[in-house]
Amino acid sequence: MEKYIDDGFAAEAVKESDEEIVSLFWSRDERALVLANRLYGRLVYHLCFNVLGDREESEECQNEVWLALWNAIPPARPAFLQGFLIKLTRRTAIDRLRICRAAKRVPSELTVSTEELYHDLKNAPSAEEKFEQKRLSQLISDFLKTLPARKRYVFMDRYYMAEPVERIAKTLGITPSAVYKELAAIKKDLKKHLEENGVIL
Amino acid sequence: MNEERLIDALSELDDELINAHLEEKAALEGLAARRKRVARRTNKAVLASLGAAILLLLLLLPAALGKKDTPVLPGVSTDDPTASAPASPLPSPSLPDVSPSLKPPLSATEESSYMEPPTSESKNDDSPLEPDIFTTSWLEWLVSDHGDTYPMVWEGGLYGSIKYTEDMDPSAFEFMTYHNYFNLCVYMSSAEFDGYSSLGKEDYSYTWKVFYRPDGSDEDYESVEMVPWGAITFGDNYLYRLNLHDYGAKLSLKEDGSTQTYHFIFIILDQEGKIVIWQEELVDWTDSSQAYYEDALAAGAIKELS
Repeated sequence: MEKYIDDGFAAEAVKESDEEIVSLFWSRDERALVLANRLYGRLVYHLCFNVLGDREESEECQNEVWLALWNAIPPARPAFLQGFLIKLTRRTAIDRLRICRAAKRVPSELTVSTEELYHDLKNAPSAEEKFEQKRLSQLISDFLKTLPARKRYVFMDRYYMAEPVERIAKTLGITPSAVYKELAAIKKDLKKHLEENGVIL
Repeated sequence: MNEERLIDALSELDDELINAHLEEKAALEGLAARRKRVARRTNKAVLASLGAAILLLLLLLPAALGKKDTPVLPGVSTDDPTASAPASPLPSPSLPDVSPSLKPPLSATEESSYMEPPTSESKNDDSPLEPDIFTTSWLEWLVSDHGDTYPMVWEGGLYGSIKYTEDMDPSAFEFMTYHNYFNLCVYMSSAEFDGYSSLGKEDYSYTWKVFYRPDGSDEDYESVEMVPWGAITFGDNYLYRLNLHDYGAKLSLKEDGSTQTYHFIFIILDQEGKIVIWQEELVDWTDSSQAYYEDALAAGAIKELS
């Protein structure tokens, strides 16, 4: 996969720190959290904020991420901690967003009781649903790997990292309208790719 | 398929894609930050040149107009140097006398004579600290024991001592901040530094490395020029500043030459002049730095910690 920008030296440095931190997690040494926070705290907070849009919620979410990370390693032994952590952060933040959204609905007794009922009655995703979900992820991943590096960067930054368009434009040194244009083109191609593979949106 | 499932599907993208994206993102954001800093410096330089050009024009224009309109008095020779005022030739403007920016550098004491300490209005200004607060005159005003009328700036001052050796792990004096804008003032004492008289002079070579960490990694760094504030009013101590924008930073000192010992006071201020984060446990506070700190207190340069 072609990279938009490559900094092999930096990647090596990060890998070294990652290994050290993961080892600390495995030996249940709390310094692992301190180091992880020092290295990736800002990025974690940033992603939480992109998803939640609220400072207080993001801070709480960040704490949840550290707890989740502590519980996840071991058994996990990620080779690239940053990627692992970001995936965990995104999931945690989205879960929190769903809770926040639910809480902000009209708090009538009917809403509350229905939510409560739904929470208890809803089924875990079926095997079929899980399969479909995984397939969709794979289709999108495959599609992204075929994109030119810059387009892939724009897509990932917007839809995975939830970055504002203005920030992406600034990072790439282009105008926001250029970013919008690229996104529109990518979405059109993605739609075609999904439809060709039997996914109807 | 609903929106929620799409969100979940995106959350489960290939690790390879995510890892590659994070690496690229760090590198690109680092580049963007560098571009921004270079542009800022360039803009400042262009504005300064433009300002100087306008000043020059303003100076020359009245003089030029004055010559054109100069009446020649009847019976008075324009060649006569003793003739009355209008007959004198076009005066050559003395730019340095008018434009402070073109004056040769003044000592801190001289400079303070025409620069006023900040007023309460300047404190409430929304603009960043520069240049209202970070001026030599402000520091002189501060150390002349007016600090208590200027809240928050030195109050609860962050201080520390770092014994730096060449083989020292830079992370020993690492700090992180999540603030988007902050100023780090580094007050450097040369108290235990052999040959300290050359500290801060051009012939002394050292750099600060500021590691910008847009993604929390260490890789994107650049040397940041330390801007001397000039000698302040006690001892042979120097204050330097680094203005760090947009990112958290990891700071380390790289120095050419033999092992030295420095003492520092670190003050990290946000744009309102309030002190922000400091990881004090990273600082090695020694007896000698305690003595130094007390000297600084006695001299009125810093206030007692709250």
